[in-house]
Amino acid sequence: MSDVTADRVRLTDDIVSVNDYFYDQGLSDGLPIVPPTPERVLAMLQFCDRDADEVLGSMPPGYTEASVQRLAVNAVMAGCQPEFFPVVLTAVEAMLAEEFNLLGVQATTHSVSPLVIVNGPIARELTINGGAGLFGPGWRANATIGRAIRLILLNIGGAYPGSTDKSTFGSPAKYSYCIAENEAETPWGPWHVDNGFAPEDSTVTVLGCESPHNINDHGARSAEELMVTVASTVATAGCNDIYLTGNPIIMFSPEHAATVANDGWDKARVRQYLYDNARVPMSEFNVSNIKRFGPIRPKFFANPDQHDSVPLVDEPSGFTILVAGGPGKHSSFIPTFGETTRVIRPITTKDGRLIRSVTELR
Amino acid sequence: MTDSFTALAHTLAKSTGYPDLAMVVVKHPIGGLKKTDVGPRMVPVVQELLDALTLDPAELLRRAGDRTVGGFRPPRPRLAAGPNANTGGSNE
Repeated sequence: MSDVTADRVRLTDDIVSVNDYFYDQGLSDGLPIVPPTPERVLAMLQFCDRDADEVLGSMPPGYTEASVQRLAVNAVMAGCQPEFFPVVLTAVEAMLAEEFNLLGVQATTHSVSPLVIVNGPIARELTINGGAGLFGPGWRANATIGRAIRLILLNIGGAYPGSTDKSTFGSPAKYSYCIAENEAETPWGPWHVDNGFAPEDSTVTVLGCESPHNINDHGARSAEELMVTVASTVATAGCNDIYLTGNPIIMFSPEHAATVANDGWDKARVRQYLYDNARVPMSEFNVSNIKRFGPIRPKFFANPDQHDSVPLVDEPSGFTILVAGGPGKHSSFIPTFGETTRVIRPITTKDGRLIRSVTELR
Repeated sequence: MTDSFTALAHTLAKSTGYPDLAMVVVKHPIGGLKKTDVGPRMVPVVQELLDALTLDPAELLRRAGDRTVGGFRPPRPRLAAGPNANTGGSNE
């Protein structure tokens, strides 16, 4: 960790004027920012064992270098506490992985935003909410880590709404989109353990997602009954995943997960059921779309007469199954941009050693 | 490209090392047009397309003009400039 070397600008002490300055410079998501003074940036870097000038990669569409220091500046602006910074840094590393397709995520007309999911003891240490109301509002870690990611995508990546971020509608998820999984209440293993990590490891997963879509079922008394509702909600012809096959999320609430698990269903059976049943009838696609989708997803659309219906993913493993949220008979379907793949990264020291607490980085 | 995507195209051309990349711009949108409407939209740019493929790069660069893409400049949500209107900072 080294000193702050970024360019500096001297402003008045008046917080309103400072915010007007950042807003006028286009360095803002529209909400007030915390002024990134050298002292605050330095404090942010206290929870980072890397050199401040280390570059994680170039961030599209402007391909500006995402240095540790620039990330820290934006984390300060977002209101992050310094101990949140390791999550921000790991999320950026994950987003820069080629398979995430950050250029597409940043520039598309779709309403995608990176969803940051934190697993393991660090999620609990930082009080990242995975329970009731996890998508907000109210939790500082969720709100500010997610916001830091957006400010980084704006200020470093240069994805400006309407200009280089071509999203037709934008999205409330583009302000902030960070959660934990509800590991305490999942009847199955947590997501990061499914991916080969130990329960005591901590990870950050990024997926290019739409906003959550609710799945209401207060009546189901069995796994089979509930999954009929889930499959019906998921199978829609206007979803990007139907022709671009990303990793759509089925986020079960703890109560719904219990309904499914109590009948002996594991995640593999859930995924297989969704692959077999969360299908859009071929008759629901118009002729022009079938023709357009043919070269993109030939497995189903090149010879439409051979398929009665189309699943959301090419293989059952394409579904992302999570448990989160609080009490209530609601689950969530979170479609993706499609042309993006989920990326999971462990939170580590700069040498790659997995850590169990962010204090190991001080 | 269509004219709705010029800022993105110019940004990407510059950021990926091809600032003088020849570009042909048509009116947005193209997607969703009936076949009979596509031709008239394309005819005016056929010569531009041929030029892009055959002219000297220096001439193309001259024709391209200024491709500077401004940063994000959202409008001030104010009826009139208030006491905090002048926020220009000074570089250290």
